[in-house]
Amino acid sequence: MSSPPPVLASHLITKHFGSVRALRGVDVAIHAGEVVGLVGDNGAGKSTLVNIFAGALQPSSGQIFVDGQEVSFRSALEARKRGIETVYQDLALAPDLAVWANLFLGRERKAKGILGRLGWLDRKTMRREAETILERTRIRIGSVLSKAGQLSGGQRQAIAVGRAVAWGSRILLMDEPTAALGVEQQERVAELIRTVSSEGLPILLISHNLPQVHRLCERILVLFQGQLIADLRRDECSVEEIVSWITGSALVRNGNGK
Amino acid sequence: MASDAMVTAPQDTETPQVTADEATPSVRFLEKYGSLWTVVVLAAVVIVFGILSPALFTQAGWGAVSKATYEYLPLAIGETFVIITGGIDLSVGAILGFSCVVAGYAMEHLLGNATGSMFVTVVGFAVGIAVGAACGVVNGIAITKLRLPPFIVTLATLYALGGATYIVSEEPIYQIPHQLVTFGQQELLGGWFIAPVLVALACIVVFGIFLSRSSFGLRTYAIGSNPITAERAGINVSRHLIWVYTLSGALAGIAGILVTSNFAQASPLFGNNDELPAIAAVVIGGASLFGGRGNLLGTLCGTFLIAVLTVGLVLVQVTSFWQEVAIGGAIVLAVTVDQFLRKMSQR
Amino acid sequence: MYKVLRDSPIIGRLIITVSVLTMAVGMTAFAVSGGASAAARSTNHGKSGSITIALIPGITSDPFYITMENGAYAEAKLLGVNLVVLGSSTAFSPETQIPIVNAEFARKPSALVIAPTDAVALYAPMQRYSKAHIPVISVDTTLANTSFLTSRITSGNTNGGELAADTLALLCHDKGDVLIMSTNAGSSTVDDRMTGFTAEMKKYPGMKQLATEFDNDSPTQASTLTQSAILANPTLCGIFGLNSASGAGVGAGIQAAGKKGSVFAVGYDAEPAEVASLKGGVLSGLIAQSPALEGALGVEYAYDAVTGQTSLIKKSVSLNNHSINSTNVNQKSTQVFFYSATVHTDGVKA
Repeated sequence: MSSPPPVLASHLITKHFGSVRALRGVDVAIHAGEVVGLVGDNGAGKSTLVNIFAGALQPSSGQIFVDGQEVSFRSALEARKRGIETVYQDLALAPDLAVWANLFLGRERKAKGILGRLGWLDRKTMRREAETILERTRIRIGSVLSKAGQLSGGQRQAIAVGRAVAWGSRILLMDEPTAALGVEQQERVAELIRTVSSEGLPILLISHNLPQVHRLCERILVLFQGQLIADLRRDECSVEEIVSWITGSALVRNGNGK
Repeated sequence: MASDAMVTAPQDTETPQVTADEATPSVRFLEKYGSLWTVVVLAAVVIVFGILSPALFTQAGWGAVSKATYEYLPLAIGETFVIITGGIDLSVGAILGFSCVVAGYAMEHLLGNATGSMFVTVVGFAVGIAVGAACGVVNGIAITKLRLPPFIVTLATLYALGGATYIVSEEPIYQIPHQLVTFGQQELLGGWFIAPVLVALACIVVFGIFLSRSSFGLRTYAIGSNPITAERAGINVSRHLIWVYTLSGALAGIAGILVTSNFAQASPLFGNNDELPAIAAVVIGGASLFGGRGNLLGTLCGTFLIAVLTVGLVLVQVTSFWQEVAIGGAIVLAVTVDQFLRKMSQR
Repeated sequence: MYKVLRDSPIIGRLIITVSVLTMAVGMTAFAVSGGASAAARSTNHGKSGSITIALIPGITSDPFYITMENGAYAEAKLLGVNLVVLGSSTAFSPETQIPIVNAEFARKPSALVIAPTDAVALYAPMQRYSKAHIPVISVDTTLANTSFLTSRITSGNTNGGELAADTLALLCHDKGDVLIMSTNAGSSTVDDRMTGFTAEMKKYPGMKQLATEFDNDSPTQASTLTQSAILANPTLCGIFGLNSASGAGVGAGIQAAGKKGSVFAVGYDAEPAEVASLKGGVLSGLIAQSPALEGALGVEYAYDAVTGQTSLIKKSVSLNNHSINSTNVNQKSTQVFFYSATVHTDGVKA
């Protein structure tokens, strides 16, 4: 019985920034329907790894596989073409653009016919679809005409998450998606993650919020100083244990935790 | 250039206060067309000067004002696109002068002994626009490939072209087709317009629609608002910027041929210092020098505001030195009010 | 107040902003027009409803044109007419002058006296006045096509160029190289001075005229070009700076090159700075025009045209120039031709 290949996998990914070795040979595999947490202390290499998967950075060495096929992304656009959508830590929104424009930037809906080929935007359609996309996040945005910079932090997060969910077809990468949210809104995003996951889309989630990670993620990967030192099953560990892996004390105690 | 506002999301944990969906349709309309205040300011200035000197409201008054805009409108249009991306183009005046002199040179040599030729006229237009666009391409490539700040690159272009213009011709070129002069000087539509004014107004309508309704326009705003976001969205920012600077140069070329047609000569003097009123018009019109904001309606109002000040001050018999003071004052006022309105709309 | 602004919808903010702006603009305009009436250079010698003559010089900051204005004001006071002087203070160019010509047209003055900054570009804007039955008189410079002009008044430029050539030939003892330091070309005066100089120079076979240099009306440029020319041509003996900016620059350049006394400069116009240069030996000669007389005659002919006394008007007037050199510079009769740097709207000369 052969299982389908992981949706996203990596083999011996390393990344140097000058003399700083941010990642030292990381192997991960994420399968359909999984919600995988990626945790680690500051500087452990979490964002670097996610940026590599997102195509925003190139690895110094190592391979990436999507659905078992080796790929290399020269840009974020190429990663997106493979269905990998990312919610960046800085949200990657244009504050002066309207909500609908932020949702469709780079993939704008054009009018039919020759006007469309010249680049004429179909704003009505985009506004309509924007409203639908945002309804899924269940966070109140109000008018999709508002400029992104005028909204609160929680609303901006909703747009970033909604955008990734709307376009992601293979896997979602989320870098601290609930960082600036209040409790109620964090719950909403958590619900959204569960909904999306139940549809089969895998999610890789970076978060400092360990209780939330423990609640949402079946597997938890721990990075320590650029290396993957633990691949934990949620049912088999507690939040305290995760913390000890993050600080490295578990490493000293156990060797490794696979 | 890239605003840092989006890098760290603020620690706002409450539901938002006044959001747009609580606004009435008229308020939402006003927020969409935020630079409407420029129109009102322009109207106010027109009324004030009109009261001081009713001669402003005559056909001759409109003629003086409109003739003082056609040279700057194309420049300001290009500058609007550039400033929205968070850049600046200091070379538009120099490109105007250089392209018009090259076009004049071409027309003079093609005409030979003849006084007129439609063909040569069309060639003149084509050469002017092409030369302007070429200068813009050079600007764009230097800025994107060499990764130099637009201020420095366009300043260098300004100086280089200033000298190059005199190499092409030290004296004005008068040998241009009479059809071109007719185009530039003949009174149309009952004496209310000359063709250059109509062309300039047409440009602003066409490019206004282009900026607000096309994906190119949207991406221009995106790049100015947050270039990293634009890059991540899959936009080829370098290529887009090259197009923007090329457009600015081409429009300067258009301005050059319009001036040539109205002044009946191609002179190395033209375009001197023109970048200042062009940039001023864009800023007065509500654009932000940090990028991401601005529109051509505002630019149109800014250009006309400067023209009305220029003409109005002559009508009330004030020397031109005060014009420059007034225009400088208008810019400071415009930027201050813009910042004020911005702070108001962001708690 | 702040709270009101913050909480009120955007309409409120807009209205408040606009009211503030309108007030600011209105106050500025009133202040500027009222407070600057001293600088607005207009006089009201006549009764209301009487004649207003508009004078548009090439550039208002140049002593040549200031002297012209003074002559015009004196004549206006004599005749009892209003005189309005408008012009760019920063540049001598059609781009800055034409908007002023167009704007003044809306006020429909009784007559226009103007020094056009370009012989071709100003044709259409000036002709509009003529078509509206407003007499147009050109002073100093003129148009290529003068058909509609009531009169054109100038100080003989060809004659001035010739005088300059003779002066340099004298100083150089008919031997050596000379060149012209010119400003941006395109005006009739500049062309005529160059033509006169070049033609007269041919009468001196022992002297060679080198290529003309262009300094874009900048004394700094002229000085730089002068020093370069001196370095490049050891046999250079004399330079003709054919307008005040060029002359000033040439003098400075010769001094900077340390060639005072061996390279001779003849300047044009008798501005205070140039007269000082002449007295100091930096310049060896000055060709002075008659700007005051041009201005006065322009106003006089304008008055004649408006009052229907067209027989008194001569269509073309070429006034004499005056050669000033080290021998006559201190004579009272010569000093009358010096230019003034201050405007006298009441017509009292310096």
